[in-house]
Amino acid sequence: MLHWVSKKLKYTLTILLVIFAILQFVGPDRPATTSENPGDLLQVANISPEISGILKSACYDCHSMETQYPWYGYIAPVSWFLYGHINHGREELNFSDWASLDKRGKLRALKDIQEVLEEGEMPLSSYVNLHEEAKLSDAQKEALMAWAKEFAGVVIKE
Amino acid sequence: MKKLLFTLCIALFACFYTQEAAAQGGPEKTKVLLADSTQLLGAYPMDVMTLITNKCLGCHSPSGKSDKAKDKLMWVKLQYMNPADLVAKLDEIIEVVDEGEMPPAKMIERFPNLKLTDDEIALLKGWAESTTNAALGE
Repeated sequence: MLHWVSKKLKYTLTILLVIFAILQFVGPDRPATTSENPGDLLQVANISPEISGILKSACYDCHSMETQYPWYGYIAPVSWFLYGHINHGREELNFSDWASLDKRGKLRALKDIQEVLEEGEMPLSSYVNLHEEAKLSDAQKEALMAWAKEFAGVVIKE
Repeated sequence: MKKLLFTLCIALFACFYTQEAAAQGGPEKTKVLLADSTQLLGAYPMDVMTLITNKCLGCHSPSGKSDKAKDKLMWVKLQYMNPADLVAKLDEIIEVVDEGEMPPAKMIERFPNLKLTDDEIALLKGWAESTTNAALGE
């Protein structure tokens, strides 16, 4: 009896392992990253170290081309969820493309930043749970919202 | 008869004169940052006002029942926004109307006449675009 169970278990595990191995070679491509981004917000605008620090640690993994993948970002199928988040995040707002936005686009982004922070939508809780450094204190959120508001006043005058 | 003609002439002249004065007295084309958007929104064109009243204000006004709708947009508050926020809000309005997100499908199901016609979408977008340009001083 025990012999039969362990044989079946072994069989199942082997199948799962094979499937797992195959998964590593199929599925969506990993969103590309680039280290040189001349149009990046932090390159083209004068942003204080405090704010750029917050942006880098809490936003840039999904909202820029400078994504830093964690180890599980290389292992399917978990990685697929990550890729989806990153692609969607960049679609909504990609700080590395800041310079290509027109004035309206910039103002909209800055307003959206204030709204998602105010409503606690961002950073995503699922992301924060795995990235301690992305957890923003109330003071940091306030600082980021105040910056977005102030920067909008600069952008509209450009 | 002569008196009537004379009065008409005076009235016509007065009309032209006030129009000219209004045109001259309009906001100067300099990039002055306004504290709020009262001037930008000044007078809604009648057709735009009618559209907004009929199709938006049911939810996006203080008497609306949905807090979410009021949170997202309250037309009466637009004029108190700074121009930067106004541009962002108008951009959002254009987006949700373009993508058919507003009025919400559920509302249209219950009140089919809330659906925006293509002409109405064009009208609202046109107004939002020109107000945006004015806010950006373009």
